[in-house]
Amino acid sequence: MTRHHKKKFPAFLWHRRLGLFLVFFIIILASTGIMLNHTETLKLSQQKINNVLVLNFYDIKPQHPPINFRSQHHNISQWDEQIYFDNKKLLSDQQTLRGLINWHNIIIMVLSRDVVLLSNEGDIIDRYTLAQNSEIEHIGIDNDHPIIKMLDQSLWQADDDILNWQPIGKRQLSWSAASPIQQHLKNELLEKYRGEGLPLERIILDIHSGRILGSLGVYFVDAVGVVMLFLSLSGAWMWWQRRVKQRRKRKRQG
Amino acid sequence: MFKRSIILLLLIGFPLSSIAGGEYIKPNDFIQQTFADDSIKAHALWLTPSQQTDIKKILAHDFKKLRIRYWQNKHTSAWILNEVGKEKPITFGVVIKNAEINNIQVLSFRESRGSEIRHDFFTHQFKQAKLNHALQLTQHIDGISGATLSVRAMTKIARIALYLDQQIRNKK
Repeated sequence: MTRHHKKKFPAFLWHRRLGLFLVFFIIILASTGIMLNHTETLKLSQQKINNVLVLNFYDIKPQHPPINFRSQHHNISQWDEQIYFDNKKLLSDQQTLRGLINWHNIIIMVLSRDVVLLSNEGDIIDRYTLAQNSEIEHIGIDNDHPIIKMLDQSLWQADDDILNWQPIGKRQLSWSAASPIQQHLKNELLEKYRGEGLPLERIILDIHSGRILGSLGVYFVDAVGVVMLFLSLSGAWMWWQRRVKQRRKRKRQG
Repeated sequence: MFKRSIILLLLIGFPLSSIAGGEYIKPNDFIQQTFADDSIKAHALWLTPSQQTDIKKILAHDFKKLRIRYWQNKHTSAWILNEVGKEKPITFGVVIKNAEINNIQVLSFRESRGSEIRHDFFTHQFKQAKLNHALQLTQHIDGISGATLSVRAMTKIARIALYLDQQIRNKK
């Protein structure tokens, strides 16, 4: 018959098991905590992480595919709210890029409400709201006159200075059409869209708080904190028990 | 209980109505209301480098446009100009008559706070304001707490409209 020894210190066993389990997390929490305490000295907010995997993990990417229109020598593209002239940021706007034409020495670009006149170098000459009762659908040229078609199907023709637009009757013309964006330009724009990258401080803060793993990560770090509390109490309890035991032993021997 | 609920709803609803933005008047309607003429045409002022510098000075930030549209009859000019309040552009309509502000209105307000600047009690302060040599308004404009940036944007636009009106009159 085997003799079962009753475990005298179950707290000690749990303390040991949990202690081993937490080693990794304590190292992470302690090191990130120390780094965050010295954010300024370590210049964590100024260090940017441009790693594609990290940026993808943080979901820093456009929500919609790019819209691209091509003028004679340039591409004008929109990615979400960012509008680019080739690979240079032109403006930010919630309106949608609806088309462009080359007209004399300028580019006339239309958004869903605004007309934007650009030089061939990408400078904004003028910008004003044209569509007030409907939205702009297309832009095209008829007899050397810029024509805009609204969503309500009305057509508007510009004067020679592109200042005043008059309603005109229906006519057939070819409208400016979107074209596929070249891969190299798409890559450049994606880089611009993502900006300078993520500050290292944000990543370390998210690791420290557990947010890097989403809301469950925060609860996990909470649980790690609770276990650390348990370890500190169980450690103190075991030390006290051992001290009492040693005193009794000394008394018996004395 | 019913009365209390009504009062509570009013109290909750009041601040929401005071911060809501939107389009208050369409630019075309503003121009037609100003000149009472459907056929009035827009003109363009092409900016010289020194005029651009002055505008940048007033705005205290970069200004990229090369020309500005305006509408004009004998002594009156009207301008539709945008300036960012905190994050989004506010569209203003300004009417200048005999080198003084005759009317200033918020046409579109896109920010979440500060739309109180559209009310007459505030815009009336700009009436008859002129521009001095330092490109400042000749009248003091009292601010609105909680709408500091919108007030600042409107003041800048008033100064720019007066400045631009000066420029088109000097050109003639």
